[in-house]
Amino acid sequence: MNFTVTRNDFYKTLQKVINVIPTKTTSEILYNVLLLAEGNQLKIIATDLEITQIAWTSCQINKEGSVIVPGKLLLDIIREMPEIDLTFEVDSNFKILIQSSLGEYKISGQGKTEYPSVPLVESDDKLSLKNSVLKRMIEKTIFACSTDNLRPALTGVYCQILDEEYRMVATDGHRLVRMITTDYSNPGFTTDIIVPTKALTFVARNLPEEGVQKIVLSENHILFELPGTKIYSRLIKEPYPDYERVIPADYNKEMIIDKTQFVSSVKRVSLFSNPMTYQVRLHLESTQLSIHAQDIDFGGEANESIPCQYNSEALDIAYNANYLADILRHIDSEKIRLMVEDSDGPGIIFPTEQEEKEDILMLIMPVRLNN
Amino acid sequence: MNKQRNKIKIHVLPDTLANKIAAGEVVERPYSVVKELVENAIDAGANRISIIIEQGGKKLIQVIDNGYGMNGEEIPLAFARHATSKIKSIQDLDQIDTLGFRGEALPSIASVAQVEIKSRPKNEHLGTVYTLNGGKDGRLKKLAANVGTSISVKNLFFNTPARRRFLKSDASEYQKIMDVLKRFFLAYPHIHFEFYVKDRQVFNLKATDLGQRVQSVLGQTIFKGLLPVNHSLGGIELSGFISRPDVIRKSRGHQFLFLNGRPIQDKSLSHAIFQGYANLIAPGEYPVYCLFLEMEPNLVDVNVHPTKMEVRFTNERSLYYFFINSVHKTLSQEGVIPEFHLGPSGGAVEKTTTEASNQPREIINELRHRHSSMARYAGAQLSLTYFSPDEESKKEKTSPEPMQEVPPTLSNPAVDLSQDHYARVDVQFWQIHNRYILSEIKSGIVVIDQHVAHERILFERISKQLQKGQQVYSQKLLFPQKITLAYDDFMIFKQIYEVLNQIGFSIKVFSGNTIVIEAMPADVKVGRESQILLDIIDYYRNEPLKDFNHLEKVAAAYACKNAIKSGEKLSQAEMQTLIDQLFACESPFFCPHGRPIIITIDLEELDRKFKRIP
Ligand SMILES: Nc1ncnc2c1ncn2[C@@H]1O[C@H](COP(=O)(O)OP(=O)(O)OP(=O)(O)O)[C@@H](O)[C@H]1O
Ligand SMILES: [Mg+2]
Repeated sequence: MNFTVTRNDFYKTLQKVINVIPTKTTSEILYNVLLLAEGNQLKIIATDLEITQIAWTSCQINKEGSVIVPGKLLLDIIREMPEIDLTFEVDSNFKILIQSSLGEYKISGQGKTEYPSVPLVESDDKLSLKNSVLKRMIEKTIFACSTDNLRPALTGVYCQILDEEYRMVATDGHRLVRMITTDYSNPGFTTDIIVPTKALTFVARNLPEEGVQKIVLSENHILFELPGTKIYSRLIKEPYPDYERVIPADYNKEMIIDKTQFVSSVKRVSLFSNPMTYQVRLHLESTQLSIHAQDIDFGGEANESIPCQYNSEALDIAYNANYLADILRHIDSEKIRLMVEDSDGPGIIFPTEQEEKEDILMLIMPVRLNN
Repeated sequence: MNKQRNKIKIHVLPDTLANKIAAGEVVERPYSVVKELVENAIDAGANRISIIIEQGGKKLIQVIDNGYGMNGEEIPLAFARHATSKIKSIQDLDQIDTLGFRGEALPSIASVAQVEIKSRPKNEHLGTVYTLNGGKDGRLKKLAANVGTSISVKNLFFNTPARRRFLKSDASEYQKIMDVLKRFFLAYPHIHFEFYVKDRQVFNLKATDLGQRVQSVLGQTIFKGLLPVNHSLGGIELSGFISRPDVIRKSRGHQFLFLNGRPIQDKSLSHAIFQGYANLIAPGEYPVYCLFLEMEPNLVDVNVHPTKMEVRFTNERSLYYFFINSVHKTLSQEGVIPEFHLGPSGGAVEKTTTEASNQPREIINELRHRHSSMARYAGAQLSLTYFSPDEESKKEKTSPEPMQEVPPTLSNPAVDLSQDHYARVDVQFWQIHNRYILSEIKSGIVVIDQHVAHERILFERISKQLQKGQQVYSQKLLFPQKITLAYDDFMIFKQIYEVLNQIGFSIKVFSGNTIVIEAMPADVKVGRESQILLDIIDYYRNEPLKDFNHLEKVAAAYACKNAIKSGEKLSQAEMQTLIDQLFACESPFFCPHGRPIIITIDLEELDRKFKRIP
């Protein structure tokens, strides 16, 4: 194999896939990327077995072929180079010689036979979504996913392709986000899938602001076709919990409050909460909200009050400050609406003004206070 | 301390003498009134004193005593400036054995409040009541009264609104008053004190001995950690209690020093006490003590400051060393400070357990994060400080200690209050094999087992919740988990489920062997929710925890199963939090099973291994 490529094209392409390489794995081969020279394209492939990403760039192919190389090492070498042409020459023993006007470098590679093959995703189930919509939905949901590998369904985002709307739902059992968009046209089928969080993170990172996104679904995989790159991911085949059932239909207690004030107050006060429970206590009154935290072990304590509008008798309710701050940070509107039934039940948080064709709902479970 | 008061008549001091008395603001806040009135009652030889306050003393402060009282002629005089029955001449200023001597208190109080005093001396049949409004309009009346004096001070600063506005909340004025009263309670165990907030009795302390009194004022738990002190040197006597070095507080709130029955504050002596603990206590930590210093009144000048809290000793330096030595002796007699000895050889590991206990506080001090709770939002834009209830201790940290220049002596070889305790910002930690946390201390290396460290933290927290009913936080679950247990698991579950519900779980039996978990302790690690219960059941069944009772066994099971596992990667911040929490534990050096949590490896040991030294 032999090809010539500019440093920048090579670096950008490699960088796209580099994060797919697992940081820790028992399968050494996964630390490598696969370089594939075909036609007038150089393809770089990385995989962790669950997610596979391919990125490509056009370049001058002198001789077609393939090789696998340690990904991070390659990136380190290229990163330090100025914008010059690089020629890669791989011999039959997979020794790689990189030549440039600065000099030459030798590293050893391996044959591609060892490397896992790219999954085949062939299906007519194709879905189109605006890039801006998809990106926004990913950003607003993935933070709420679980990391509990014993409950795999919750480690991904639940995507529902419905007649009139497209939904994404994430929860870890303590909080939940449900985001609905109607800015979409049904592709002629309805279905629901669970996509691993990690895959969506890569997708969001590679999504351009403009344009439309094509998603291909097969029985076990999902494929995102992005400009210059493709991301394949295995789907999580587990039943998703019946989340609609736990979102209460109506509430009679409602608080409206300035979001920025609320977030910063929660953050400040939570500095004084116990570092294992991060518990903060909210005291709701008709015109003001007081936030309190205490860390008995270290003797710290904090209290703040901010104005709000609340329509019911005073109520005390406690939350994990991190969960609360996470949720608030993902709401864009100036004011938010918090709805609760009692100090034991879920709190529902909405932006006071939803974006057009969009419906966001966040839910947080309280920390109960018993003695 | 039961002094016989020899009463002389109240008289106005001549100007020449009055001008020699440290003058200034006597009445600053409600607590100062309480202090002056109780002092007067004690000076009047009372053995029963009641204190009543309302609204943090802002509305009412009343002190009732059964002391020698005053008659109708004396009372108005008592409210004249520089009128006292306690000293007569300049010579007396060197021999003060009463708490009052300036004749300042009553007139100052009367001028800023509405005062009513009722009093009757023993040898008279009728008492007198006298009222004053802002120090004016004195009205005198005869009436029946108990022997002794009752004085009530209402609406403090009613005529100086600017000062009234300066008063803090009822709660914080109350706190200050409590602080003042505690000192009297401790200094005069033979006096029966009662303290009421409005109609609610807060303290009823019958006359008793010092030990009993300390126990009722500071509480059983603290008392158990106290060691008796009894030392004397050439007519100076020091007695009372100091705490074991593991009974420490984060503020000076539990430090009491009395000179001839008078509560005093003395930086140099409190520093000496700290020095006496050698390196067993870190700066920023405060031992508990209640110490009585008795000496001839002429060796000390109490006429330094209007509040009489500061004194000047004639022989400050020898007193300083007397304090260090007394504290040091007390601690070593109790075997708290182990003798320092160098073993001939011995592997580091064999020596470690004893070594860890040789210098425990030293290690804690070096590793603990100075602003632990700030670290979590390290990037945040905050300038809040982690407030300590004790302003003073903070100030002391920044200004150099006045006694810094005292050269170390043979009697206190380990004294090392080096400034670098304050200077160090962050401690570096390394995690090895995702199992041990390594860090550097002055004497070498410490190694901490991450799993058992966390286990200890959780164990103590749960034990506190179970035994002392401390607040339990339980995180509600959005999707209650339904689990069908195997029969034998279910049997164990039935034994422990009440305890589980006490530590923050909320579990119901659904039907048969099926249970539903609706909430779990808020500190269950994210991602461990689905396994924790089964893990606890397993542990409870398999672990032979012979000396443990039922509650402790559940606590140990939860602690072990929810603790960071060996093999988990930790960030710097996580390691720091873990270590800070570990050192907030009562016994940070051993896990619930008695295995060591921390071992140290001496630099010397390493040097020997590398043949740098023979
Ligand atoms: N509770 C009391 N019982 C008997 N006599 C009292 C009582 N309170 C005050 N007196 C008398 O009133 C005098 C004046 O009291 P005051 O507190 O103003 O001054 P002092 O105690 O002599 O000095 P100081 O200003 O240092 O407190 C006292 O010297 C004492 O004779
Ligand atoms: Mg007095």
